[in-house]
Amino acid sequence: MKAYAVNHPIGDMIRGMLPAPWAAAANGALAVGLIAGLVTVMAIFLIWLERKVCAHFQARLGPTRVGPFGLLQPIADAIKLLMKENLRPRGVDNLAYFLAPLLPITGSFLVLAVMPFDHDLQVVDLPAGVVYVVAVSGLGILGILIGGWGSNNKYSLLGSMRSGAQLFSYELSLVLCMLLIVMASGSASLREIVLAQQGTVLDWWIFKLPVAGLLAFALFMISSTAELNRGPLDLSEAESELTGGFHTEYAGISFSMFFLAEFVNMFASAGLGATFFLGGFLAPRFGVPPLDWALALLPGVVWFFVKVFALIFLYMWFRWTFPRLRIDHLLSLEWKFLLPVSLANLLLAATLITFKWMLP
Amino acid sequence: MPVSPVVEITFALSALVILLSSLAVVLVKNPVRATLLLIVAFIPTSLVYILLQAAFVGILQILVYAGAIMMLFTFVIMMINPSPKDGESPAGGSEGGEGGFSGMRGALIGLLVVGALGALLLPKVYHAASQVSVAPVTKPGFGELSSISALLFEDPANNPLTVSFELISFLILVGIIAALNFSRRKGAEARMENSITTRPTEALPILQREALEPK
Repeated sequence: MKAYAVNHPIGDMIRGMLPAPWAAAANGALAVGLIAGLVTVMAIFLIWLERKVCAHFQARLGPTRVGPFGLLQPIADAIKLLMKENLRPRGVDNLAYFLAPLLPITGSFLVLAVMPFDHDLQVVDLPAGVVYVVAVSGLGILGILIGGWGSNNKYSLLGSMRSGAQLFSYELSLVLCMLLIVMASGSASLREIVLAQQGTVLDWWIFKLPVAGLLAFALFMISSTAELNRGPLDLSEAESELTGGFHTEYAGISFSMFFLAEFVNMFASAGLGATFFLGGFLAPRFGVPPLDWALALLPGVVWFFVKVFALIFLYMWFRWTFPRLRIDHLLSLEWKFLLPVSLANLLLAATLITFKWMLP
Repeated sequence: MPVSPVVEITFALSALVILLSSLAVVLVKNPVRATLLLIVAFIPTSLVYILLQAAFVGILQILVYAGAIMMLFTFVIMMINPSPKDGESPAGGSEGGEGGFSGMRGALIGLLVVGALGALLLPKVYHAASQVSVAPVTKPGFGELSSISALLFEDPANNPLTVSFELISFLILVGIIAALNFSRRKGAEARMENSITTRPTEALPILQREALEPK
């Protein structure tokens, strides 16, 4: 197993100033603080982006009044949400009702802990990072399930039941796509998955495995859209049928926690997509020396965010283009189409990897 | 070699949480809360695995138990929603009533089981605890994904673990097929239940049959 040295200037400075155990603690606290800040700013920015993208898809302008290009609109919305009363409807299960909004955001927050933002910018590089990602993202399902149950409302319960069925099902094809990438890279650590894609653009897993990579990418995008509860697969909310699904009874800060989790999840999921298929923090290289030199001038973290936002735009494009599926169509799409296709794709990829039928 | 105080404190705290939440699982009356508390008990269990330098097993504990199995439990329990009525113990039967394991009789049976299990297990646990050394494993990659996969799949022709691993996956497949077969309704019955009945005359036979069927 290869080992890559991690040395970030800020981390090294702290390690130089403090004795070993304290330096590790300080670095950890700094990283967690950074992630927390990133999550907040990112969620606010993504809400703005979603509204703008949605508006332009529908030939509208979106928020324009608060701040330049309406950039401060989500902050105004956030203040409005925080000022609202945190309602407790009669007959709710106190523990489940107030615990539920915290779980999805915790899950997506924990996923960001293994996300490689740059060569030396990662909270922790677990050798079994992919397994960890699958494990902690289960918290989101739990939050939705007990939130819907604890609300003591039929719409909420229906929404969370649908959501449970949907998330369990789509997790299968999502995990099979991740397994394909782990097989191709020979490691389950997210950092090493990225470093296995060094070289030109054609060495990214989306292109390097002929057909199988592209197919896996498509399957990953579809299943993660379902995992994110985003349209056209947002059956757990389905405003037109369920008046909001599992978060019908939530208001104020508890509602905004679900809302925040949705956007942070989208960021985390796009980050995983970029890491698995698009070379993560690696700058794209085309084999043309002057162009490669110019592209490599930007730091890895910028490339990471460029790729992530490209994928996020794709998610938004899905949402505002396709109509919502019906619940039985959604489940048969997974069990009768996506799951067999991902299994077959896994076999195909295994063959390609075994015989080294990959792009040079 | 002494164990670091961080490990000691983490172990003590997780042991406390595991014990308290496991007790609460049994004592709480609401079944959904009981499943939630069981999930709470699984998370520090994975922490204990990580303290034992088996990080991968720790992650799998969360993935398989807290993530998959308990989620299905929660799903099913919410679906049937067996909330206990007032004055009724969750073990079935009313307080002090006939038939249920409640009150003094239940406590007596519980004490008997706990005592027998304790008498069987505690000497073994003490014996094992006196044998184990607390020195950390220095082998690189111990308990990680790569070493576990090497243990399972290295030299597949002579490795007994490979064969048993594949056999277990077949066993699970057989289980899934059996479950599918059991849950599948047969022939005319399935067609009748799956068809959407809008006219009351069509819905009537189903309703009558449901009323007549012995529970």
